[in-house]
Amino acid sequence: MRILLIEDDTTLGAAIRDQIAGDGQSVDWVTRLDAAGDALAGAGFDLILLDLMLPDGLGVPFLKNLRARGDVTPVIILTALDQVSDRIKGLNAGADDYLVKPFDLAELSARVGSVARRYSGNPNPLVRHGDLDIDLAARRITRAGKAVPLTAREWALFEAFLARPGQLLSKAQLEEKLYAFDTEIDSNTIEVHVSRLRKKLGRAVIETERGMGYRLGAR
Amino acid sequence: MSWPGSLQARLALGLGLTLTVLWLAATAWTILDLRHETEELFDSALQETAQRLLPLAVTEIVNRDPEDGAQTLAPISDHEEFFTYIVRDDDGEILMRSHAADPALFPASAETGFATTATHRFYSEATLQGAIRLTVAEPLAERQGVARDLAMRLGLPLLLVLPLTLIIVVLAVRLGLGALRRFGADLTGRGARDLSPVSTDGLPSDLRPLADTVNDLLTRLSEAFEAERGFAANAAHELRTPLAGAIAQAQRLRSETADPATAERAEAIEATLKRLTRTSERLMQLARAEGGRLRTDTPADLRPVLRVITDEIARSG
Repeated sequence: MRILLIEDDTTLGAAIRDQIAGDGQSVDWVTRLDAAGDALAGAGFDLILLDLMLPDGLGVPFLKNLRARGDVTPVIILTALDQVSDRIKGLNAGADDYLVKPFDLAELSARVGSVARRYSGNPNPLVRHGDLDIDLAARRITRAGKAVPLTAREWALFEAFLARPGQLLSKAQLEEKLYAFDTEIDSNTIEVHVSRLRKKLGRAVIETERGMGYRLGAR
Repeated sequence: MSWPGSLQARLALGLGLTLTVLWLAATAWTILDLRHETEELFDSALQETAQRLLPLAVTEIVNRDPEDGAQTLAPISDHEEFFTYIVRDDDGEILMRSHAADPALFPASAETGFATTATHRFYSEATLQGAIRLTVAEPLAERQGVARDLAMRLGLPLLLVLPLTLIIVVLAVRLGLGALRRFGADLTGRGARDLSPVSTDGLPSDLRPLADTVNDLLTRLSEAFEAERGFAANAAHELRTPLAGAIAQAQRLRSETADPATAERAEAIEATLKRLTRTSERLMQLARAEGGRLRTDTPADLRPVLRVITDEIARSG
């Protein structure tokens, strides 16, 4: 998943970025709303983590603006404002969840996963695909009863396919989903990860449309 | 009598009393004036009658046989006499009288001019150097009847009009001060936390400064509350954000390190930071409570709250 983090506190921002990146997601971190606007214009994000008090404005109007433009990207608000009225304002502006600082990073990871699952249409973290039993919350896959360890990148790629079953995903789309703006990637990175996934989960797990991209294999 | 406390009652009472007194005074004055006028009219008629009768009486007396003595004129036809008269000489001897005249009623002296007894009004006129004196009597009952009639005709409508006027005064005052009453009810009906401005729609101009002042005060009050709230929110942000950062970093450190000793230290730092967070939370709650945000209009049972607090203290022991 490609996640946009909007947080002006560098200590907290760095910790969140490391946590989310550690989960295998790609994170773009900006500290201002104008930079966030630029980032949103430049790439498609799967989720936005939004602080409410930023040096160049407030988060709620920014969120309202985003929704008014028809952008339906899931948004989780991270804020120090804990009053019920603040939460209501935030949620009514179009947020999907609301976390009050200070929060546990593990809880943040869980909420990010939960919101992402809801958007993919299936809130159940336990998914069955062919001979694979996938626990999205625990990031565990068992193939025919045997645990298969995946790296964070492999997880992120596999999740991208699972979230869009049957949909053709181009290499560029996958790169965008997996890597933040400033990450150096080799031209064959996606191919490498796809071939590793096939090796671990079975050939049919990802189908190739030559010259077009990849899609999740039929079960 | 103590003056009533409500403006409405004061106005109604003041207006009612003034109107009643003025009406009564005006009516009394009119009655007295009309009475005076009627007295004059009656007197003038009495005088006129005497002056017309006198030459006729003189002719009659001079032409008749002096031996005949006093003469009572027979009525031409049977009728109730309104004016009665007697004609006397200067010794008081009755020379002539109308058929219903009762000499006992007439005053002994027949000085020219008006005279009054308890029952009659008299007018005397003399001629031939006082040798013949005519006195005409008019019963007072008639005048009194007219005066009573006058008083009734002016007074009776007043009996109807006065209560009606008083009712109208009360209604008008109620209607006129309705806006003031509604304004008062609007103010008392508000909740203790309601700081929205008072509606000035349809408020009479006299109440405008009052409403404007109230609204001004309410605005300043809500601004003061807002500032306090703003401070609390700002303090919350200023305190929580660095704490959140430090806690998050400690958590990262714990999850990234492979060294159990380091993990333990990170855990200790995190626990301390969380304690610090709780303390700052309490301080902010205290600030909010003092800002009046927790005030409600309904009384609440505080025992569960105390139970929770004692519970918490017991557990943190």
